[in-house]
Amino acid sequence: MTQTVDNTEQRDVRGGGDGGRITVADNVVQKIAGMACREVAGVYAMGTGATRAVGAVRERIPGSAGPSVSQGVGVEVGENEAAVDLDIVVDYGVSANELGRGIQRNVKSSVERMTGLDVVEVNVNIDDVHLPDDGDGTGGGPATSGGPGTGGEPRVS
Amino acid sequence: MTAVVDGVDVDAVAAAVRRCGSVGGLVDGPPAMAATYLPGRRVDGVRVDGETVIIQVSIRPESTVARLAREVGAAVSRLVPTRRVDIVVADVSEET
Repeated sequence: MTQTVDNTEQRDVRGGGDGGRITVADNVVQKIAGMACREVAGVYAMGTGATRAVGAVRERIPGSAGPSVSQGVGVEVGENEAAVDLDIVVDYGVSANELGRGIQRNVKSSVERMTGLDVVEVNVNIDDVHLPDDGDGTGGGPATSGGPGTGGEPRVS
Repeated sequence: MTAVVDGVDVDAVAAAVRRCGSVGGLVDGPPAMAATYLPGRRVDGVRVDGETVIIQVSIRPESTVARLAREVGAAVSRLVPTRRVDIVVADVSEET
């Protein structure tokens, strides 16, 4: 559930007594990775078909925050290292390979910068392609469907 | 009204931690279940456990864990000079 960051830079936390421990929850790594992934242009939505459907339902519940940033993000955190698995839906027309590289770069640097953990692998799983006139997509991505040419397509960039 | 638990003024610790720029807020609940239960109220995110003070916070999205740890360590060192301070980063706060 949790892991301990114990590198030298962070070891000097102390209240005068012994140096204390710094713990980063999985949740934190998940959110950072999720935000970093959504930032990359070409990522339309995140999550597998099932989790996107659940996210779409959550979005319609009044007062609910909608799909969470950590949707589609799996993490495994060890002593000083972390591994990230991402499920994404890409925009039609992007180079999946290049987009994947871009996501890996951004996620790795974001998580490493913020937590000090060493990110050993970022696995990007492209689950679906969002077609321009697809509206809702197959599994319920962002729910508003812009007609052709309205520019109302929700996208994270 | 200040609450002193085992010689630690938990309200002062909570206030000092809240003033740190990297801290979004103090949080209770998992993973550390850090909260101090007092008559009539509760101080979230701070727990005194023997010789250790556990502080559980959310981090601001623009900051780093290393910076947060330095800030919190500096902020509380005067208040708990003889204790070990464990910091648990439980969440990322929403951008405001």
